[in-house]
Parts: sequence; structure tokens; C-alpha cells
Amino acid sequence: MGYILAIQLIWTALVKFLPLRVVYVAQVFITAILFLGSFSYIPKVINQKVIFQIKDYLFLDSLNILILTSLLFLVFCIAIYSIGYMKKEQEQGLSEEKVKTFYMWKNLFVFCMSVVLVSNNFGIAWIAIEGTTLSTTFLIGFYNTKDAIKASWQYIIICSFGIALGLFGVVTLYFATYHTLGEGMNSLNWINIIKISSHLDPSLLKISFAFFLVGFGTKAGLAPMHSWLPDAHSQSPTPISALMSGVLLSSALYLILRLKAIVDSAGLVHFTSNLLLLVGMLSIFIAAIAIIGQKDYKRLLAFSSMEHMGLMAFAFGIGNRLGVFAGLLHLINHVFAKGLMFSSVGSILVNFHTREISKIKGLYKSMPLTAVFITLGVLGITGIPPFNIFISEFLILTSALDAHMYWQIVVVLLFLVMIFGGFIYLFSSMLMGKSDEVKKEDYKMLLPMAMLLGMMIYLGITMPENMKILLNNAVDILSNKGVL
Amino acid sequence: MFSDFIELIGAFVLVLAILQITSDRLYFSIKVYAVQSFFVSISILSIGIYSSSFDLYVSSFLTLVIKTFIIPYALFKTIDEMKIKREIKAFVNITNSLLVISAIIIFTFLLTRYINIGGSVIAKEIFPISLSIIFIGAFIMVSRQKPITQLIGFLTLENGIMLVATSVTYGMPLIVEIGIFFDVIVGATMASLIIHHINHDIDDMDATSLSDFKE
Repeated sequence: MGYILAIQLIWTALVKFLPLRVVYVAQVFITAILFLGSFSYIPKVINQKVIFQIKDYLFLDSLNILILTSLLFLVFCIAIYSIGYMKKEQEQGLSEEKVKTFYMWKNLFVFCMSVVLVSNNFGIAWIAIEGTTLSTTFLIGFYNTKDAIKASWQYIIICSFGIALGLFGVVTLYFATYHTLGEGMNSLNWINIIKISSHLDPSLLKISFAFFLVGFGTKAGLAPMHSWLPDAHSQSPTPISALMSGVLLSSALYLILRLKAIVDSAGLVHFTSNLLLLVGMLSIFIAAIAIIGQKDYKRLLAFSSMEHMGLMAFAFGIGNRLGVFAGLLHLINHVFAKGLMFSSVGSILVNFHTREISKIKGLYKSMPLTAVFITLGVLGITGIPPFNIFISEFLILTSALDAHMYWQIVVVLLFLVMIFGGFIYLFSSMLMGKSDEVKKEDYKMLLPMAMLLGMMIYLGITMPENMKILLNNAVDILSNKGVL
Repeated sequence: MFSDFIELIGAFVLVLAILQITSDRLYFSIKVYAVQSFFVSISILSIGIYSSSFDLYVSSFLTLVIKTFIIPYALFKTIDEMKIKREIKAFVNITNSLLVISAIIIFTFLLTRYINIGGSVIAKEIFPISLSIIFIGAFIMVSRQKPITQLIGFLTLENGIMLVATSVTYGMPLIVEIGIFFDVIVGATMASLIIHHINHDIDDMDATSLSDFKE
């Protein structure tokens, strides 16, 4: 996977020096290569369970290959989508130089996320997470409006704060491991730590996990530290919102999961599970309240991401095998669903230039194809069959039932129903009604939506055999059975 | 003996963090930050000499250059350009802040009483001290209104982390430390850029106005 990272880094450096026409096309090809590259690792990972590269700094196992592949698929879709989006923006007077800046930061952002996912080392993963913060700050302030700058200030200060707490968690983890594993990078390598995890000091691990959860939970959009999320999502260019919501949040959650595996096998399952349950339910609650009375459709989607992250945290907090399985499946399903939602509402934004729900009426008249995608996307993301989100939400609730968590199920279902109602009400007011304008729909923006919708339906109806094996192995990894 | 010395330096860093809370002038806050970073670099240097580790020399030098000189200089320049010398506005006044942070310090010492850092520990008490500094930095961030004082709170917090990463044991791996420096310097640059923007585009630089577009 070293070359996946290398290509991304070189491409990031090159973007500024190429003509924009070339950048548009090359971005699509390069992301396609990256996606296929990561896809081609899947059989290898299934055979060998874990692959190391560059000594053992980078690794791929069943857990991170799943997230990496879905990340790169979304990046590929967004690459096609960005052409249409940015061309529309250029018609509105965005300069070429600015578009290239957008591509540069975007590629750096994707590079940092890939490093987080494939890094075997908590130190390097931490640096990369901080890298995602720095590279997205300028993207959030991209339009240079008053609100955008405020949002990027809020983003950098809250996320840096969270990440700093996360760093303290990493340092504490180092204290717990260094006398067994020796000084240096070794003691932060995940593979090394998991092997000796039962000998580590529980009280240090507790402190470490608490700081991880708050620190990286900030980036994951989990409850107490979520306040950057709605503003950042609504202010940044839509392709970036899709990437942030789809994969940035998941890759932060991924790091928490890695630490949870370690802390769990030191005999602290109840501690980590209860914390995750609490945080998860709180996130769903706050998201449900915020979605009901929302006026801005991008903020609405941002809160929906928060809801889904909360649902994942809830699933991982349940603690049984099915719960972890459902949580991972939900993580992957959410990538496609949120990609579709953001790209379809992004089309409204570039055509109508307003984010207010009340100002948009009659999308079926003005943008019929996009309206179809929005309708299906809304049904998908709120958990209606035959879409993929339904399957994973159903599995999450089933596993909670297995664990005899009755009142939690009732509460979560109540919030999900609230969110469903809010979504249907707000989006139907945008879709229905009269409209005189007819906007031209760009096939470059419709194609990625169709691809993402296709994935949603495909994963809702069936699950590929390889994916099932990978998911099962990933559950083994997280419950610390058969890591190697 | 040596551990006492390191803990003494750590205590100085903590005292400077408390002094940061009591300061109501921007210039003074930045100076306090510079002196605090200087003490952090001394702590790292003495552990470097004690354990003759090259990594620690490097990070001590970087702390000295970046945190004691470059960042304070950049902050001074920013506030000069923006012409803000007004006093720091706080949501919580100084007396109450001091009460809160004394509670924080007691809490961190209680929290870390039973932890057991195995292996070759140099100065165990640095752990609660740094944790207090981290919480104090966080408290500064939430209790002050102006972006630049929030930034100072963040830098204080980062100093606490730097202290704990280097001074409890022989230090984190160098690459992680370099990463920390990189992040601090880039973060501070970006933050001052944005502060600049905020000042140009928005008349008032208050964090209270940042919260008016929340839900």
C-alpha cells in the first residue's frame, strides 16, 4: 500500500503546476487507480490476514482494508462529481487558481486520511489526524465569507483541542507499554501492543481510553465535542463535506476502535463499552433534536452524520460479536449513503445558491433527475429497505436485543423515528411544490450519484462473499481473537 | 535527587500556567507563555544530559527556538498589526478561575494517585502536574472570549503535553515529537492567519459573536 500513499503525495504536489483541464481529468484517473489498487489487495489480505510494508510502519488487515477501499471508492466518485461542481462554480466567477488550491488541499486531506487508516503506529496516526485538521481548515474557509471564516476558526480551535487531548491519550498509552516493549517507535505499534495487552496497567489504560474517546471523538463528531461539525459541513465546498462526513469521522472512530481492542483485552470491556454506549446515545439524542427544527439542509445532513456516528458508537458499545459486525457494516454503508446525500444536495446548492430549506421548492419540476436521487437517498439514509442502511440498523438493534438492552432499544428507536419524520418533512417541502425555473443537470454530477446509489442498493440486497469474510475477520481482530 | 530537580522545573511550569490564568493583558500572557516554554525546554535538556540521549537534545533545541522565540514573536506581531492591547475579556473572573483551577489540580493528583508507570520512571509527579497544565489550558480556552487568548490557552495545553511526553520517562519517539512541533507551528500560523481574517472581515473579535450562529 506504500505506492497508494506515494501516488497521492506526488499528485498533491503536482496539482498546482498543471493546467486545470488536465487536473480535472487526471484526478479521475488517479483516484480510479488508487481505488483499484486498494481493491486488488483484498484477496491478499484474505489469504495472509495481515500485510506489512516499510518495516512494520504500514499494515493492512481485514479491518482497515474495508474502510480504505470504501474511502477510495468515495474519493473516486467525488473526483467525477467535483468536475461538474467546480465548473458550475467557475461559471459563477471562481478563479482557476482557487480551484487548483481546492484540489491541492483535497488531495492532501485524502492522503492524511489514508495514512491514518494504514498506519500501524498510534504516533503516526495521530500526526496524520492532525494533518487532516490542518488541510481541511482552509477548505472550510474556502469561500472567504464571514460565516466560512468563523466556521474554520471554530473548527481549528475545537479540533486542535480535541487532538491535543488525543495526544495525551497516546502518551499515556506509551507509558503503559514502553517498559515491556522498550523505548522508541515499537511501543506505539498496534500489532505489538495487542500481543501484550493483558499485561498492561489497567488504570493507565483507562485514562488513555478516556482521552482517546474525547480527543478523537471530537474528530469523529461524537456528542460532547461535536459543535464544530454542523458549521464546518455547511460552510465547506460540498465535495469536501461528503468526504468529511463519509470518511473523516469514520477514520477517527477507527482509531478509537483500535485502542478499544487493546483496552478490552486488558479486562476493561465494561468500562469501554459503557462509555461508548453513553456517548453514542447522547449523540443520537442531540442529532435528533437538532434535525427536527433544522433550517439549513447541509447542517441537517451534518447532524445526520452525527446521528450515524452515534449509532456506530452504540453498536460497538453493545459488546457482543453481532454488535461489532453491525457497527462495521454500518460504518461502510454510511460512507455510500452520505456520499450520495451530500452530492445530491450539492447540486441544489450550486444551482440555487442558498442553503435554506424554506427557499427551495419544487425540485421535481426544476431538477427532476437530482430530485429522484434525493428522494431515494433520503429513504436510504433514514433506514428504509431495500437500502443498505436498513440492514445494518436492523442488525444493530437485533444485537442490542440479544444483549437484553430493552430500554436502550426503545430510546434509540424513538430517536430514529424522530429523525425519519424530520427528514421526510423537510425534504418533501423541498421536493414538492411548484417551480418555474428549469435547471440544466450535469451528467458528471449525476453519474457519481448513480454509482453511489447502486452501491447502496447492491449492499442492501446482497453481501459479497469477500466482504463477509473480511467483516468476520475484522470482528475477530476487534475482539482480539486471531489477530495474526 | 535528579527527579526532585525535574519535578521542581515541572512545578515552575505549573505555576506559570496559573499565572497565565491571572493575567489580564495580552502582552503579559505571551511573555508568560514564552517563559513557560523556556522551562519546558530546560526540563527536556536536563533529561537529555542525564540520559545522554540525542533525541532529547533535538527536541529541547526545537522547543527553545519555536516555542520561546518564533511563536511569541509571531503573536506579538499579530497583536501589533491588529492593534489590540485591550484587556483580556473573560467569562469567569480571576478569583473564580483560581478557585476552579485549584480544584482541577487537587482532582488530577487524586486521579493519578494509583497509576503505576512501570519501568525506568524519572519523575512520576510530572504526570499529575502535566495533567493539571492540560486542564488549565483547556480552562483558559473555554473561559476567555478573544480568539488570541484561546490560542494561548491551546499553546499552554500543548506545553503540558510536551512536558509529560518528555519528562516522565526518557521521552517519546523522536518522530512523534517532531510531529508535535510541526503541528504546533503550522497550527499557530494558520490560527494567526485566521485571526487576521476575522479581524479584517468582522468588526468585533469576540468569541461571543462566534456562538450566535449555533443551532
